[in-house]
Amino acid sequence: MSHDDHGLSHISSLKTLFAVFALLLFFTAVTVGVSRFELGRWDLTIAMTIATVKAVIVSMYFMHLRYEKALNIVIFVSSILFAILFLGISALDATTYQDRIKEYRAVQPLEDN
Amino acid sequence: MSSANSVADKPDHDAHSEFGEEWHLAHHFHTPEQQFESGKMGIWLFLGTEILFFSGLFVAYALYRFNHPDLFEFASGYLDTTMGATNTVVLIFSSLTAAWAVRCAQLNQRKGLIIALAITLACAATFMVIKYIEYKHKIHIGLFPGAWSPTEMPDGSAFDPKVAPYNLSIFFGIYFCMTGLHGIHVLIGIGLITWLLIRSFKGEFTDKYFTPVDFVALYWHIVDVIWIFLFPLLYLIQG
Amino acid sequence: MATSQQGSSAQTELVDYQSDAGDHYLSASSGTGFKSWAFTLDHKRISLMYLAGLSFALALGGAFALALRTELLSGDGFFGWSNDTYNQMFTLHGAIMTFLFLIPGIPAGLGNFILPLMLGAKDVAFPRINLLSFYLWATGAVFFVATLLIGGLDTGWTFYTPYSIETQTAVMTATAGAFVLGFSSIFTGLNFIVTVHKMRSKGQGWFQMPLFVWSIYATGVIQILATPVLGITLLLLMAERLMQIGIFDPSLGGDPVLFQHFFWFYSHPAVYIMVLPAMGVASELFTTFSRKHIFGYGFIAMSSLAIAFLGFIVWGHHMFTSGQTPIASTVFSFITFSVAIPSAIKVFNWLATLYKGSISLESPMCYALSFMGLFLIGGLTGLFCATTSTDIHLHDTYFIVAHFHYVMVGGTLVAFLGALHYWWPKISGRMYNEFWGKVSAILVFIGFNVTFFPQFVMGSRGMPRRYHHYIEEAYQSFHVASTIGAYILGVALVIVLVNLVGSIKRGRRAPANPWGATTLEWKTQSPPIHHNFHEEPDVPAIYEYENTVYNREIGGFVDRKVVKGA
Repeated sequence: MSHDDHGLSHISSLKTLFAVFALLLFFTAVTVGVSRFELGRWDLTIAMTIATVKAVIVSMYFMHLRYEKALNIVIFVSSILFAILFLGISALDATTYQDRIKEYRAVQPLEDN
Repeated sequence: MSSANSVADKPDHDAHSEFGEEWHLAHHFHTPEQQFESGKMGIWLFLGTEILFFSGLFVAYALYRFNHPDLFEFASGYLDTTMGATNTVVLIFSSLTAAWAVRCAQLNQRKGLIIALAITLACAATFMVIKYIEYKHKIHIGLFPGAWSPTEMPDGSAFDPKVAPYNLSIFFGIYFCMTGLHGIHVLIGIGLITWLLIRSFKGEFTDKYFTPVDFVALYWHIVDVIWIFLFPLLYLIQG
Repeated sequence: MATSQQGSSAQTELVDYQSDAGDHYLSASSGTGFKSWAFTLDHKRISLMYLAGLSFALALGGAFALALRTELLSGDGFFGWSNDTYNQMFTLHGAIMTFLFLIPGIPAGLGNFILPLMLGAKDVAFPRINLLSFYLWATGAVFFVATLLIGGLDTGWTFYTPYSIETQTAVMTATAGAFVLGFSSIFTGLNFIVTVHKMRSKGQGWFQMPLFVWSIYATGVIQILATPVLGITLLLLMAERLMQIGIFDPSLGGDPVLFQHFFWFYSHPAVYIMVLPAMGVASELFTTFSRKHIFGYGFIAMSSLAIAFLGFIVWGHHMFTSGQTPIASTVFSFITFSVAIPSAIKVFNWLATLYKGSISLESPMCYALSFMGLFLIGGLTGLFCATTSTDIHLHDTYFIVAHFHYVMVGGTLVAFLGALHYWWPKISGRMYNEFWGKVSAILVFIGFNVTFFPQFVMGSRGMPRRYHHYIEEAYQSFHVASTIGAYILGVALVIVLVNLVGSIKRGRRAPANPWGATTLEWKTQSPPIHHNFHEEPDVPAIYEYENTVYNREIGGFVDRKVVKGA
């Protein structure tokens, strides 16, 4: 066999794994800490940025994406892009029906609230 | 997708005689690399479908939060941030042990593999127990989907319909769908990890054949990644 | 290789891949019992099981179609059905045809057989998942049949909310069925994509792949990226019915039109899951039966990917009259027009392939030509529907019904039949009766046009779809013509079935390469052995027709191979 015994896939060092774990704990603490402050509209942005950073770290190191073939990275990234496309175009139409839903609700018998 | 030939498959003598049993090479592949890379591509495609599967829930979440910010802020107060954060740490730790399990399999460390998988399994179970406690409390105070009003306000006082925003049920509809679907994925993960544990007791995984461990770990990480987003979106909403 | 004859020149050798050993994927050596089928991992046997199931689905959906057309013979209903009965009939016709026949039809049914052969592979990348896909399909079919038995379905195949939340019919069973079928489709697409990437034989680069493979690949991309969204949509609909989560229910403050966005994010790309493989089939048939290299190979291959991508960003054209914001409608309308570009690229390249070709009108070619004409009409009428202003008039009329039947039936079904005739000798090892093959192709063409052309006319005159009562003076002649056409189409399909199935007993043995095609599936015996090829095939320069020569003795084509160093 031309390849060495561990040739099938990349092996992570324990140091990397634990460093990633420590970083993830740190970011979890940060996101919980930040949420205690009133930051208005920045609240969501900060929370999502931290979550994205955490997700990127998990996928790069725990999921070995950093060492993967370009093709697998393309697959993963494009699925995220298509999810964003789905969100983006649906968002175009997000508010169109709200008034009519409110009107509809107004004439409904209200069993709750 | 990766173990030995089936009943209907006759042994194929002309193919890959140079690779022994320990490679678990299926008849239609030429080399273990081809088999491994095919599997790897397959699992990444599958993870892509998982992301798009969850995307529907994220779209629903985004549009309703955009239209009803006050509702989301209020309703999020019902969720127990401590429990959510604990579950986040539990899942992150299980992700670490899952990655460790893959490393052990790749290095032929059978004992380490069994321990790492057992810890992962224990974490998954802990996650579900905490989830169960949370669900039980929600249902107890009447917070489930549909046109019902809860009995309590987020701070534990009696429910006041004049203060609470309209359509509380929508938040909890989305909450139960998101965490419920994620919970189903955790349950599937528990099944898969148990299966790996049984196989690793039998000593079936080696540096030449660790694909099932690798792929289940990848699945488990994506379950973790989805939770990483669910946690701040549901538990950490401040005005 | 059974016979290997010396050619006239010393440098070339004529090769016939047919073997008389009698050993093939259906023979006793590959197993004959129930288990050898139920647990088979052979893509060829899985394909045959799919074809059997697809025929059943087509027959069931077709029976509903004939019943609908008969009801429409008179203005107050030939059978006198109630409105509810009529709603159930067209819903079940649409749902069964779409989910059980059109979507799995060419990729899972025929692609399963042909794709690994075209790549010179022994099987698809994941044979177990392939079998799982089939069983998921079968489970979905059981759910649909159960829907039929326990109260039917009257939402239309689109399950629009809020009606689908309120109706008392078996929505849960049908959505569960569609959900399971979605996973069948996802796993098929995943399997085929990996197969194309990883299982190509040595020396077969991306641009040595047959165009059918390109189209299946593009289809796989859509299946992977779009179908999961259908899964979550149907799951949310089920949750809505079970737990009143309120996302799609206006009485709980939800947005019912959001359901349409979710649904069409999958279901518009799904239209291309149906038609892209059909275009791939057409590419193969046009080049083979013109004995001329396909014109514009790269353009046809890339246009498949372009259609797959554009298919994702046009879904709002199903929602022009739903009250969608005008900005979205304008954008969707504009992008929808641009789908015409890659589609036209294909049609022009097919025409250029035919030009000065040595055309032989065998049955598959008759189907292919009919496909091109019908698809063209289907596609061009789509532009009327994509224009927001005309769509307001045409929306929910028979014009729309005719438009999508021209694409789905005139496109997909006709190409499916062409493909079935083309590959039947490879699949069954028998030649069908050519005369009846041609008759069926011509009858399908006539029957189809008689059915659906009048619907364009009455649709543009205002006949609404999904109504079974109409003003006889205005529309009855069109409806009667349409019904006659439907029966002709039905007869044609019976002829196809009898001709193909009958050939297994009566047909002459098929040669390895009856049509002189150049792709790899013809470089093995008919029917192929369990492992497809006796030895891994050399990858030919595809679509080079001077490399295949007709041989009168065997009634088929043999390969002209250059012998190195002879």
